[in-house]
Parts: sequence; C-alpha cells; structure tokens
Amino acid sequence: MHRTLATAFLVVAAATAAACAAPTDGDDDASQSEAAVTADLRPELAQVNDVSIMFPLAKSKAAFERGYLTPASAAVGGKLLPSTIYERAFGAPGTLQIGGTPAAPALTGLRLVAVRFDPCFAQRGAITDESACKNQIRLVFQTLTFKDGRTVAADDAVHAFYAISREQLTSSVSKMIDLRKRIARDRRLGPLGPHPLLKTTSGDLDVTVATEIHALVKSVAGEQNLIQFTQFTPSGLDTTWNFSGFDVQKNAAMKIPTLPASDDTHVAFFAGFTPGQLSGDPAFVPVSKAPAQDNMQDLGNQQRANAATPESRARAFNALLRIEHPDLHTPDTVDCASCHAVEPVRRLIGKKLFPNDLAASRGAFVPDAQFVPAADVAQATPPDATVNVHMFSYKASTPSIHMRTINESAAIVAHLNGRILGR
Amino acid sequence: MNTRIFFLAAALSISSFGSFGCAADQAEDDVDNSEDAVAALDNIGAPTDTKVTLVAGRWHDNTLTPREGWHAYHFAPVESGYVRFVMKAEIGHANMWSYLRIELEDPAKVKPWLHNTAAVGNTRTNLCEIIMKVEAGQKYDVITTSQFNLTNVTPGRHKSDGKYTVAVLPLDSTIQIPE
Repeated sequence: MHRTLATAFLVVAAATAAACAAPTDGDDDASQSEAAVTADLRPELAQVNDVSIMFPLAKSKAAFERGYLTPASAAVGGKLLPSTIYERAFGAPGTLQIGGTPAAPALTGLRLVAVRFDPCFAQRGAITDESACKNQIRLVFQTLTFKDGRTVAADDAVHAFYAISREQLTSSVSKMIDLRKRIARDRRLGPLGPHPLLKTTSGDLDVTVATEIHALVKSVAGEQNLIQFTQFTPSGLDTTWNFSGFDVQKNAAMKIPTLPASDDTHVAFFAGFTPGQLSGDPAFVPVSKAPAQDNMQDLGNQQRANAATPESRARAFNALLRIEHPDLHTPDTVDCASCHAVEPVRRLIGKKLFPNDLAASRGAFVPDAQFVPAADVAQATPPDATVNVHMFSYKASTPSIHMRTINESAAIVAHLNGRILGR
Repeated sequence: MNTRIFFLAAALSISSFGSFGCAADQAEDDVDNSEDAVAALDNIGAPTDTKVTLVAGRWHDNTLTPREGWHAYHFAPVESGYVRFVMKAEIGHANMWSYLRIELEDPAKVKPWLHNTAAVGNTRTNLCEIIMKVEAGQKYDVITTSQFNLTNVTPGRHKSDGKYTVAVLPLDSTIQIPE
C-alpha cells in the first residue's frame, strides 16, 4: 500500500517535472510553497532542505545573538574558521586585495547563514566508485548586522569547506531527517528557502532548533578538517564582485579554473553602473578561457550580447544551463564569477532582452523524479531585480538561491536516497 | 564609442573652467577650521598617497573627506597601449563631482607635458574617464579629487566628502584609435 501510494505520487511528480527547470516568478511562489508542504510518502528519505539548510534572518536581538555560529565557534580541532589560517590567505584584517579591491570580510562580523552536505563533491557524471567520493560539509558565512529590529546581510560571503567521512555524512543527514520527522512528522518541506523548521510561529529564527543544528555542525567541522575557503566582496560602488579562495592543504591561493595561468587567483564580475542592466565593460576580469560551449561571458554585457551572432548567443545561453548542471560542471571546472553571474545574466539579459533565445536554450538539468518532486526544485524566492550573485545566502534581507544550488541539492538528494539511505 | 570620445573631449575642455554646483554649502561639521589644519590639507601638488597600485580591470573604492581631498594611486602597465582611467562617484552630491588627473611619474622631467585631466561632464552619471596611451615600464600617478577642490583657489578647507570608485580598464576592443 505504501509503495502504491508512493508510485502514484511519483507519477504526478514526473508529469510535472517539465516545469522544474524553469524558475518560477512572482505570485505563484507562496501557493507553491504551501502546496509543497504535503504528506511525504517516504519521510525516511532525504529532501532538499535536509541537505541544504539556510538559517532565517533573526527578527529579534536575542535570536540574532544566540542563533548563529561564528568563525570563532569551538568545533573539531579548534575554531570553525581560525583567524590564523584566514589571515594567511587574505592578510591582516583590512588588507586590500589585488589592485586595491576590498579586504576579505572581517571574521568578527561573519555569521553562519547556511550549511550544505555533499556526499560526492565535484563529481561529474555517474558515480562508479563511492569510495572515491569526497564527502563534504560546506558552511556559508555572511556579515550580518542587527539594527532597527531586523537582520541585514552585507553583500559578501565566505564559504568554508570541510572533508568528512562517509559515516559522518550519512549520520549528519540522518540527524537532519530525524529532526524533520520529529517536528514536521510526514510533511514535505518543499523547495529550498530559509529552513521552515528554523522559523518560530512569529517568523523569527528558532534558536532551539538552530542550536541543535549548530551542535551537529560543530561535531563534524572545524580547523582539523578545513580544506579550503572562498570569499567574495563588492567594490565599484556595489557594482563589482571580487572572488578568491585559499587551499588550506596546499597553503596557497586557490587556482580558479579556466582563467589564464598567470592570473588565476582572483576573478571579478562587473555589472556596470546602470541599474537593472548589465553594462560592465569588461564584465569579467580576467576573461575565461573556457571552450565556447561552456562560456557564457558574452552575455555578461548587453552590448556584447547584442553584437554576438545568433549562433554564438544561442551557444552562450546553452552554456548557462551547462554551468548550472551538476553532472556537467563543478566548482573545479567553472570560474567563480561565471558561475555566480548565471542568475543575473538570465534575469537581466535573457528575460529582458532575449526571451526567445532564453526559451530556446537546451540542456537544463532534470532532477531525478523518483526522489525529488518538481515542487521541491522550484525557485521559491526568485532573486530580486538587482544584480544578485548570492547562490545560497542573502542579498540584504532577501534570501537568494540560484538554480545551480537547487540543482546540486536535487542531485545530492537523489544520490543519497538512491545509493546510500534508501538501500 | 564616438559618444564616449566626444564626452571625453567635452570633459577635458570643461575641466579647466568648470565650477558647476560648487557653490552649494556643506553643512558645518566638526572639522577643525584653524589655519594650521587648513594648511595641512592635501592639494593638487601633495595628494594623499594611498599606497595602492591599481591593476587593470579591478575597481577600488575610497572616500574623499574635507581633510583628505586628493588621493594618489599608482599604475604600472604591463604592456603598452590604450587604457581607460575611470572614476565614478555617487550621483547627487554637489561637492563630489568626479575629477581625475593622470601624471607620468617623471622625476627627470623628460616628459613634463604628459599629464591628462578630466572632470565629470555629465552629472547624471558622475563618471569621468580618460583614454590615453600608456607605456610598459613607465609608472603613472592616478589622482582623484572632486571638481570643487580644483576650483577652490582660496586656501579654504576641502568640501569633497563622499564615496567614489576608480579603475584602470582595458580599452573596449570595438573602439578604434587612430595612431
């Protein structure tokens, strides 16, 4: 009986899967979210909100002060993100980066806004050897401030990556599933967004639940297994985003893929000074050397997009979808700026200027409908009309979740349910 | 592209005469107005050295203040060719209209004529830009201030007070510069 119902549900999910790759807009989102919170026929399996957890922004001072971990929080083998290592990467606090670009975000202002679990980081294509997988937990920090009764995020982010064992990965996700089953019973939690179980009835950050997740994070992540971290900060009067990273094991700046070998440790995306347009010239510095089928950079500037031939423009729109496809690309194969710019390009170039080209693009990731209902991969909160490079964090007080993150989360859920948890 | 070059020509021609909007008063603040304090202010000949070396394509943000009204940056081109020096400030600040001056670091005065200036010609954008040919191996000073300070001939305090951003950018490949 249980299986029959499950099959029926999955048929419905598969029938609606065609819509899943397209981000939703506007008014439908609230009703879609409500509908998504439906009975889960196999609550013991993972959902997207079990593997990608976004902490809501606190609405009270008490929740702000108690509801977030910081880089200095005690964790495995030391702090979550020790200042000694951070300063090795970016210099003493306030040290300007290449060409006078801003200093990396100050550790003292950072708060943990998101957590992501991945059983096979940077894996492309079918997994043939589970033992070769890089099991990982990623922590997303942002500079948060609490003022006038609300929390606001700076337009920055620091991502910290930790290597964990398969047992730790499985145990951590299982604890998230148990937490959901305990609080939400058999309800589905729906698409990614500020985690529904981390909100009180008044919409504030639920410190009690947050503390449980904090304990989980601190039990598996810390100085001992920190392997790399990345950061971005804005400059150009908030029109440019500067990306870089540090490989802890190599004790060196991360080499960003597809960039020229002589200039591959920093990359920037410049949107230009006209609000609501992408007019930055050059939009990307340095320019990616990715092959044409994986290069979307001509779409980063509307004049270049206009000047492109129909064929090359179509290829660039397809490249957007390829970059978002977790089986085709990973952080090891795409430069940070291109990846973070996909969503602004889709919104400000594709939808506004070339809707037919955007609609005609092919090759979007299709989640495994057996484990991920279409409703769970909807873009519940579309990024706002500004240039928003946050893939799983906040632009001011607006949650921002790019399709790339949704696709990755769906692929992770399918992997976990199909090969690890559901066996 | 022609528009840009035209704008530059306009900006350059205006820059030596311009005084738009500079009469607007800034609210009195706690800045020390003593003669000593005023004498210590930087000026066109002695801008505050930011110690920042600009790198092509990277935007640097800073703030001009009544005490620090002139900033100097450095630029050492890796290769010879045309580049764009760009400065932009927030729109709507009467005392913060972009002004750029590029000087060849030339202690021996071999090329004493080589400096270029531009002031903002369009207050709707508050952006000024200088296209010029630079030579690999040379060093250039990139000096930022606001139009007000340029015309502030009396030894009064600076009034520029606001955020701006500055960059050296590669020239748009679609622009053709006759040699």
